[in-house]
Amino acid sequence: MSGPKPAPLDLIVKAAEEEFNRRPPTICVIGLSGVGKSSTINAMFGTHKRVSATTRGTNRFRTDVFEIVSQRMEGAAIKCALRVLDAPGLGEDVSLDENYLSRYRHHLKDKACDMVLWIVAARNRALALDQQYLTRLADVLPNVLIGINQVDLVEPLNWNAGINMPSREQDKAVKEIVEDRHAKLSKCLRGQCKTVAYSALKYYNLQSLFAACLDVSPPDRRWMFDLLKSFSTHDWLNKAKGLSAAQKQQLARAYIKSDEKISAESLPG
Amino acid sequence: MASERGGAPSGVLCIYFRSNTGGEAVSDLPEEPLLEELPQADLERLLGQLKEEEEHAQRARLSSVESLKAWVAKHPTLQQTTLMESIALYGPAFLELLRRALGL
Repeated sequence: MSGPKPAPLDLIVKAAEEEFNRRPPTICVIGLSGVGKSSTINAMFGTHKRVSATTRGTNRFRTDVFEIVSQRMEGAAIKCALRVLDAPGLGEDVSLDENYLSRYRHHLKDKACDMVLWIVAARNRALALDQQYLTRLADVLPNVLIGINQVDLVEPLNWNAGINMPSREQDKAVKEIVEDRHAKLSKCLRGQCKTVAYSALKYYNLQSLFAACLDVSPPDRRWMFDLLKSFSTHDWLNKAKGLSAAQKQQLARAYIKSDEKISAESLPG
Repeated sequence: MASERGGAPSGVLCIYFRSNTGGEAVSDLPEEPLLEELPQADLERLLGQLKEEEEHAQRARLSSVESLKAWVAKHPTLQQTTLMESIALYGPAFLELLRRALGL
């Protein structure tokens, strides 16, 4: 009796390419204007530096398709796309918001999104609009992740730039903010949700946000986001202004294992 | 104030790493002074956050490996191959291989 034939690498590469083309990994990012939706996507996927973007829709509701062109040594370059649904102007004008919400609803109802990331700014205590919009979309929202961005701007505004972390005072405030925002926003949803505080600008807690993003996306689609991930713990550490390059290197050697270069010998042939 | 090698200002923790140990941190070697200007409290927080970031990164990577297996198991062509065994055997290295093959 013959077993399954060994699969050449080409087979899975071709299948992965087809999957990216058939249905690109898609993020629906929702949040009021100015909370850092674009900077969050840029930080996680490098969409500001290594892609060509095509935008469809009105200039205030966008379906951005970021084509991340591969740099293959052999064969034709592959375009792996990341799709981002975004309404950059949400919350600026209530009369326009109706249109944005119906567009979000349309996409969510079609189950066209792998994950929904709802972003609020850490300093913003006024949650009425977020609560209202969450409630209105709750019936079409899958598992949603709430991201609390810009923790570096939390009072008393004394971010510890030396170690690229919140000061102790900010840390305490952030914990209270997470508890408060989670309670106020999750009650608008029909299911459970997770809340993660982070700073896209500082890359602080971004690994936690990314891992939580994977948790809310379909189990058989998470690998696609991982392949497009464009940051590492180095990015956070490198922004610690109080450390020399040598110190950062030492810390990285000792503790950063997640994006270690894998030696050729350890890779399958 | 920068401390001299082998000595640290009071209230400041010195951590030294043994070179080429593959990542084992030790605190009693008078070589390669690290973070000597950093207050101990800051250092503890920094290391705590560093470990936390890495735990999340590792968790995401393992989740992605499981995800790749789930996709292969459902794929009409790939499910008939030995890919599942390869992914299970190599884990995150397989994902890295795929990333490289795709040129990402």
